[in-house]
This record gives sequence, structure tokens and C-alpha cells, in this order.
Amino acid sequence: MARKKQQRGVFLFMSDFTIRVAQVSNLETPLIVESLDEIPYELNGDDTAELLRNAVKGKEGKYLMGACGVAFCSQFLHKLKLENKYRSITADAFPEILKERFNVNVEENSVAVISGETGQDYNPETDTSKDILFCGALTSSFRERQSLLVSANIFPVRLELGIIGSIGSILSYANQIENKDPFLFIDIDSHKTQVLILKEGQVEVAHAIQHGFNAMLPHLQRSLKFHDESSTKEALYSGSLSNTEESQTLALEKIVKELKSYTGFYEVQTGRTINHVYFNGLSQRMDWIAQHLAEKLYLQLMAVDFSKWLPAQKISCDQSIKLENLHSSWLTLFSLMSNVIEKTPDVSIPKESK
Amino acid sequence: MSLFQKKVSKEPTSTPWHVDFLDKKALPDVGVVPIGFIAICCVGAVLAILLAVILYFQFNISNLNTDIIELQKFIDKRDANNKKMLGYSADFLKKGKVIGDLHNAILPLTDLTEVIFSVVASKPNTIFLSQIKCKPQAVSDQEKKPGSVVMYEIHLEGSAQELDDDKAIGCVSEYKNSLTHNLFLRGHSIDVTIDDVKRNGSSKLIEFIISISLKLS
Repeated sequence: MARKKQQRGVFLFMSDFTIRVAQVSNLETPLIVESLDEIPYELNGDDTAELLRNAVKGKEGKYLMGACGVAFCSQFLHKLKLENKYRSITADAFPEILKERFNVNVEENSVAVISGETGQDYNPETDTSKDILFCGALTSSFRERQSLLVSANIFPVRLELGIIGSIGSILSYANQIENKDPFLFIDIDSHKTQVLILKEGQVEVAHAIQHGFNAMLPHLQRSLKFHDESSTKEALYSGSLSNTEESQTLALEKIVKELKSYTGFYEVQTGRTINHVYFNGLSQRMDWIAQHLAEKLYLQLMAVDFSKWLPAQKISCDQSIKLENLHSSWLTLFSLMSNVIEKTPDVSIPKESK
Repeated sequence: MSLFQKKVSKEPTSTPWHVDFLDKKALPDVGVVPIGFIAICCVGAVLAILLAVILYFQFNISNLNTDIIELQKFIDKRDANNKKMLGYSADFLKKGKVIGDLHNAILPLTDLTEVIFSVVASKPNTIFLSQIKCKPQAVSDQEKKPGSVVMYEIHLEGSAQELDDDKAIGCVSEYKNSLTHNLFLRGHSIDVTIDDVKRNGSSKLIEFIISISLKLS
């Protein structure tokens, strides 16, 4: 029997300080991941398109099909409970609610509305969900990333917010390990810390603390005696900080305080205890943040056992990839693969864009 | 347009926890599914097929015209010969009729039915036949071979009606002569005799019996 020609593809996760790339030998389930790579970068510092072109192995003169997850400092995730005055809300009211309650302008932002209970697109006419989530980011940010991918000869077939895929994946993992207790989901970017409490397939709580990596820099600079913020930032992102207990406490004090407030309120209100915390997108280089926060909150870190979760998602990895050594933060990239790219023909790159 | 406006419309539900923010309109036009191109190709293919069909028919018509010219030449070439043959055919029919008549008049009778017809045809109007008996003469087994000569005895019983008896007897005699003559002419070995002539008092007719012995081959 003639062997079917397989179409290679690529999955990427791009945040403000890292690019993670998974190359797959085919785009149909079961997916086989051939390689995983991480490229540390700063968007304004390097030629990102060149970095990407070098990182992926596409055919000469052809686009490589790919799905991309992104994280922006402009991204947001807000939860709205559909009760009281919002009980019989219509879609027409969403722009006003977003503006007044969450300060999100729908003219400038790309916004999606999904159910906080199922994660599916929310349709006010048919959906019975009580909790809805507004997620999105600046439209210009999405377009910029999309253009970047195209200029790197990657033809994006999906462009997702990484955090949403991660929520779905960590909920699926919690379900797999039969963790029915509520747990904390923390996502830190340059400007803010997104705090979620997840339980049994649902988003129970969603808040944003306006305190991110940038707010930590002055504390770290002072306590670790850096010359300026940019060198402190470089040390933070590269994982070369010689942290002390004092510097960590100073840098994370505000976040710890806010998190204690949210978790305490939730536990009192629901009578349930939060035992675990998952840090989304926080690479191994910044593990000290996860360790410190977990310790201060008296919580256990939720580590993803990929050797258990990936087979359940029909994803397999090349033998060269040691799943047992893989950091939990890779979940965001793998979450893109649970929505496999539809098979599409090879497309040639127009000559003028080469 | 904000993606928000798109998401709250009645689009099909996406995979849970996977929201697509891709701006498909901003992607390079690489024609992943070049519907326009496919449509043009389809129309082109249909036109090409139609053209091929028309050309095929034109070619066939041209061939048929050539064949017609060739066949006309063939017909013209054979026309004189055909007319000659038709003349022969008409001549044959004419002569065939004459031969048939001669055959009927001269050639030997080959079966008994023809003999009976001849017997009846020779009869004058004043003679009435009441019975014709035919029987083959007894022959030995050796003679019962195909093509061998068969002897028949034919007895004619009838009556003659005339104004007076002499004329009636003369009429019977004349009939006997006529039979002898006709059958002889047809090449048969014949012996015709008047076996009995008597007057029927009640009907005033002359009754007779004529016996004919003949051989059929």
C-alpha cells in the first residue's frame, strides 16, 4: 500500500520574552512531535522573523502550516456572572459592559466571549451558562503577530490566546488525575498577574492584579544592586538572578498579599480549600517565583506529568524528547495541539514576499 | 471590525477553550482553496469537451460526404450493367411464362392429381361425372422403388345428356377420344376403354363407365 504523504507543521507559543516551537511530522491525529525548542528573545530587540525562520524547517518556497498561541501584556480575561441586572442580557449590551465594568474598548480590542462553564463560544440566544468570560487583546497586537508569522514563512491557520488553551488543558489534566478540588491558576506578564480559581472544568474566579514583572524590577534592582532596570530585566528573563530571600519577598510581596486575599475570600465563601497552584507560562528560569509564591500561600505546585497527559490527547513525542524532564510551562504549547490543524495543501509563498 | 462582533454572532461553536483570533482577511492571498481558478478550469474543461464533440461530428460528416461521392461513382459505374441486367430479367420473365405454358401443355404429368385435372378439363358440358375411382395396380416389392413406374386404374362413372340417345353415346365416345388424345399428348402410356354404356330409363340419361389404364413415372 502506498504510504500517504505526510504534511509537516509547526506549533508556536510566543510571549513577550520567549518563543517556544514544536515541529510535528504530520498534521493529523495522532500527532508526532519531532522537536521542541525554546528561543528566548525580546520582541523589540531581535529580528524575530529571522529567529523564527531559523527555528522552523519548512520547504523551500512553501509556507509551513502552523498554529500559534500568543501572550500579550494587553491581553485580558474578565469574568461576568449572569445574575441580577445581567440575568437577561443580550449581545448588544456586551460592548457597554466591557467599557464600563472592565475598561475594554471593543473598537480597539479583539474580544471573544466564551462560557466559563464549558469554554465554548457563548451564544446569548442558546447558551444557558451563568458565567461568561471576555477574553482578548489589542487588535493591533494580534495583527502584528500574524504579520510576523507570515514574514517568517509560517502560514497561521489559528491564532489563539495561550492562556485560554492552557486553562482548558490544565482543567483536562486535573480531571485526568481526578483532582476535584479548586486550584489556583496564575499567569504573570510584564504588567499584571492574572489570577484564576479553577474547579472541575470551570472557571470559578477570575481577577487581574495590576502588578507584573515590570513592577518587580525596582525591588529586585534595589535589593540585588543592579545598575538599572534594563539589566535587572535581562537577568530576570534569562534566569541569571542571584536571588535572596529578601529580594524575592520584596518583589512578590504585593502579589502574595493579593493572592491571599482572593484565596481566603474564596475559601470562606465556598467552604472549600485550595491546595494546589499552577503557574501558566512561567518558564523554568523563573521557577523561583513559583516556588516562593507557593510557599507563602501554603500551596503545592501542580506539576503536569506529560507522559500521562499527552497520550490521552493522542500526542506522542520523539524518543529524543524526555517527557519526565519537561517543565509544566510547556503545557501552553501542547494545548494548541489538542485542536489539530485541519489538513491543508502546501501553499507557495508569493514571490514579492520572499 | 472587532472580533468581538464576530464572536457574538451565530457562528458555529468552536472547540472548547480554543478561541481563534486569526484575521483571515489579512493573510496573504495564496489561494489555499482557489475556488475561482477551479471554476474557470471547470468551464474551460466543459468548453474543450464541447469543442472536441463538435469537431468529432464535423469529421464524421466530412467522412460521410466522401463516402457518398465514392458510392455515387460506384452506382454510376454499375448503372449500364444494371440496366442490361434488368432487360435480361424482363426477358426472362416473358420467356419463363411461355415455358410455363408449354410445360403445362406438353410435358408429362407427374402425379395423379394432374391427371384428374386433365380428365376433368377434357370433359364436354354434356358429360356429367358422378364418380372417379383411382387405384394403383398391384406391384411386386421389387418394383416399389423410388422413381419406378406406377400403374393406375382410373374408372370414370358418369352420364351424358343429349336430345337423343345416339348423340349422347357419340358424346361419350368423343370424350373417350379426347381423353386418349390429351393423355397421350402428355406422354403417358395409356389405354382408355368404354366399359359400359346403358340407358337410364327413369332419368333418360345415358350412363357410362370409362376405364383408363396409365403409367406414371
